[in-house]
Amino acid sequence: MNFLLLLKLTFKSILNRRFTSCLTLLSICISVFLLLGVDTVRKEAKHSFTNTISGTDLLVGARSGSVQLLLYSVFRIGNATNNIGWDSYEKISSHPSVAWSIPISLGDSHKGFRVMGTTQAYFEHYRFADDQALEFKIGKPFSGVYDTVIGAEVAENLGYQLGDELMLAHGVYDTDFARHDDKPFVVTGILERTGTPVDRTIHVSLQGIEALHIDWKTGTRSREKVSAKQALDLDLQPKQITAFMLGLNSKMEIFRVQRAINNYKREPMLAVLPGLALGELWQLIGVAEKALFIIAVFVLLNSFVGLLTVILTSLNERRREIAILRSLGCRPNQIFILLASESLLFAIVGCFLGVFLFLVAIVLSQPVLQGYGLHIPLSSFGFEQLVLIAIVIGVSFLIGSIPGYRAYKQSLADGMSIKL
Amino acid sequence: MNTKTALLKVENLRFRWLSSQRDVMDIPELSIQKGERVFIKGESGAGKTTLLSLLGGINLPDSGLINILGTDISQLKQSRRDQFRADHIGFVFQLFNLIPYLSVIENITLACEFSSRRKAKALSKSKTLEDEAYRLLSHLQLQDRRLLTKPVSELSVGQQQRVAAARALIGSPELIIADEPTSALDADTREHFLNLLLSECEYSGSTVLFVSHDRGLEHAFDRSILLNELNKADSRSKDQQQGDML
Amino acid sequence: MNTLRFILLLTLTMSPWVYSSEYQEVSWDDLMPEDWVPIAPEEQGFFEGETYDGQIETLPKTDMAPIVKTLDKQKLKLPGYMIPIKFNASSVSEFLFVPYVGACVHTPPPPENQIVYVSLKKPMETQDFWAPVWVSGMMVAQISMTKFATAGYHMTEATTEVYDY
Repeated sequence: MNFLLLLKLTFKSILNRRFTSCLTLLSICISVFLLLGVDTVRKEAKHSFTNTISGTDLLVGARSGSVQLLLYSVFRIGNATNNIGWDSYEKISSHPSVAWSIPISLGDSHKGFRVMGTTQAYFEHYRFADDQALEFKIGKPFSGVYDTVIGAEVAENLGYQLGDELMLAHGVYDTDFARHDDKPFVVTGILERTGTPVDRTIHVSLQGIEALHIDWKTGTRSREKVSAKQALDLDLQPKQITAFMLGLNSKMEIFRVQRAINNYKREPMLAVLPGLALGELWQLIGVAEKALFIIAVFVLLNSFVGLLTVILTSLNERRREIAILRSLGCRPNQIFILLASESLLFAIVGCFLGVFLFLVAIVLSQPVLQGYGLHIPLSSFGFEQLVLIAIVIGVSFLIGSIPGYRAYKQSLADGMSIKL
Repeated sequence: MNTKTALLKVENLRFRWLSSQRDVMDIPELSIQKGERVFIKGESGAGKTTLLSLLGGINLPDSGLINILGTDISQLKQSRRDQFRADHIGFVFQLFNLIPYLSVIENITLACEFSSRRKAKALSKSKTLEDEAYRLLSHLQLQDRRLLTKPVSELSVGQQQRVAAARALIGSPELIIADEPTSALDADTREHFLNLLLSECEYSGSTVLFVSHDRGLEHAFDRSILLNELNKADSRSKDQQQGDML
Repeated sequence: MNTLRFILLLTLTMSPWVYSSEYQEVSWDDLMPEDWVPIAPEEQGFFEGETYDGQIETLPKTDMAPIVKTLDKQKLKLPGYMIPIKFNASSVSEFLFVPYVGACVHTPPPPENQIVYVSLKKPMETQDFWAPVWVSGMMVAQISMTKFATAGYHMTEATTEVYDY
C-alpha cells in the first residue's frame, strides 16, 4: 500500500516540474533511440554485406587490394585501377579445375546506377544469401547486343518497365555531355529484389559494352561516329574485362588456383576468397562500428548524468517537503524509494518512447535503406534489444540510488531543523 | 498530578548532537496531562526544535525516557517510532507546511495515508477522507471551494496555516505539536488562528504542545513552561537567559 | 553404501577414458603419408602462360597431394584455422580447415593433404573467423573425385571448440 503511495507522490512531483521533466525525458528517449539505432544498423549492415555473395570460390581482378576488389566487383563501390586482358581470363577460366566463371565489366552508369557488362553465366551461376539464385520478376536475360536487365531498385526508382529505353553514360556520374545517347538500350528483363547491390545494377552484355565504346577508343568520342546499327556489324568481342568470379570443381584446389593466378606472369592479377575479403572488410569497418556503439553508450551515459543533475538539484528544493513527510511518519527508507523511483520512472518512460521512436524510424526509413542494400525489418527489435533496454533501466535505478541515498541520509540528519 | 493519566511523561532526558561535547538537552522531568494545552516559551536556538524532534520520535535521546500514551518511544526502533508518530502526533510548523505538488485536500488526507489508525478514525466521522478534510476546513473557517482547488502556493500564509492545522487534526491524533505556527502571521490573524486551532483541538480531544517565543499568546493556554527552566543544559549566557525572562 | 561409493569411483575414473576414446587427437603431420615429399609449386606449372614467346602451351598434369587412406572413417580431432566458405554475418557452417592462416605470401599454400573440408553439424557462432579452433568429426579420406565428392579430406557433421592457447 505504502509503495503505491510513494509512486503516486513521485509521479505528482514529476508532473509538477513538467518542463524540466519533459526535457529530461526527451534526452533519455533520444539516447535510447540512438543506442538502438546504432546497434541494429551495425548488426544488419554486417548481415547485408555478408549476404551479398555466396558460393563463389574466387574473385579475380587486376592487382590491387583484396578489400578494394571486393568493394568494386561485388558492392559496386569504388573503381578498379585497371582492367584485365580477355586472353588471361580465357586461359584461367578454361582450366579443368574451373567449373564456371562470370566475367564482369564496369565503368558506366545511368542516373546514379552502375552499369555492369556480363554474360549469361551471371544469371546462371551468381548466388547470394543462403545460396539463392537470381530470379526474374519479368522478362529474361539479354540476347541482343542492346538488351539490358535491370535490378529491382532501378526499376522501382526510375519507373522502368519492359521495353523502356535507357541512355547509358560514360563514367560513374551521369551527365548530358558524357552520355552514350546514340546507342539506347532496351529493358528486356527486371530482376526480383535481392537486398543486395544487384538491385541497383543495370546489367548488359559484354558486347553491349564494346558497342558503347567502339567510338570512344581515344578516351573521348571520336569525330567519326559509329551508329548503333553500324556497331552491330563490327567485331564486338571484348578485349578486356574488369574482373571475374570463379567456381571451382573442388574446394580443395582453391589455394592452388589462387596462388597460380596471383603468380601469373603475363598479367598482374589478384585472386581473393570472398569469405576472407569480407572478413578483412569487416575488420576495417568493425573498428568504426564499435566506435559508433561506444559513442552511443556515452550519449546515454550523458543523459543519465543529466537526469542525476536534475534530481540532485531538486533534492535541495525538496528538503522541506521531505521534512514534512518525515513529520507525517514517512520512514527514511521510504524517502529513499521516493527519490530512487523518480529516475526509474524517467528511465522506463524514456525507454518506452525511445523504442517507439525507433520502430517508427525503421518503418519510415525502409525505402531509403533498401537503396543501400540494407534490409532492416521490424523484427530486428528482438530479445537482444530487450536485454539492452533492461540494462538501461537497471543502470538508471542504480543512478537513482545516489540521490535516494543522499535524501535518506539527509532526512536522518535534518530531523526537524530544516534549513530553509 | 496523577501520572497514570499523563499523556506525555519525560524523565532524565539527555541528548547531544553527534559532533558536540556537551548535552544540548537535559530535562529531569516533564509531565503533560491528557487534554492539557501547554505553552512552551523559548527563543529560537534555545533548543525547542530539538525538544520537539525528540518528543516526536525523530531523534533518539542518549538517555532517559519519553513516555507517550503508555509507550516509551525512546525504546522503539526507528520504523516503530515513525509509525507511532504517524498514528498519534500531528505537527504544525511555522512556514512551508504544505507539499507544493499536492492539492489542498491531498495535503490534508496525506496524514491518513501514513496511518491506518487515523484513517479509520477520520472515516468514522465522515463518509470519505475528502469529506472529513472539508469538514475540518469549515471549522477552521475555510469554506470557499474555489480557493481550495487552487495550487497551494497561491494561498495566503494564513490560509496555508489553517490547511496545515487541518492536516494535523485529521484522524484525531492524541497529541498536537505546534512549532511557532503563528510567527509568520500578522498580528490580527495570529489570535484568530490560535483560537481556531485550540477550539478544534478541544473538539477532537487532543492535547496541545505549543512552542513559541511570543508571550502575547500565553493567555490562551492552561500551562506555560519556560524552556530554559525545563532544560538544564541551556548553554546560553546568563544575560541571554535574563533577556528571556522579560 | 560401500558398493555405491565403489560404483561412483569406478565411473569417475572411467569417464575420461570413455570420453577420450570418442575422438582421437591427431596432428597435421599425421595427414601426410610418411614417405611422401611435398614438391614446391614453382617446379610445377599451373597455367602454362609463363613464357612470353607465344608458343603453344600444354597443361601439365598436376597430381594432387596423396592422402593417408587409413584415416578414412576415423573419428578425429585436430586444431587449426577456419577459412570460411559457407557463412553468414554471425556464424560459419562450412569451411576449409588449415594449419595456419595469413602466412601465404612467403610460402606456397598448404598442399591438398593439409586441408580438410569441414561441414559442421550446427553452424558455429563466431565473431572472429580467425580464432584457432579444435574440430572433431568423422574423417572421410576420398581418393578420387566422383560426381558427388571431390578428392581429399572431408569431415561432415563435425563440431568445434575454441582452442585455448
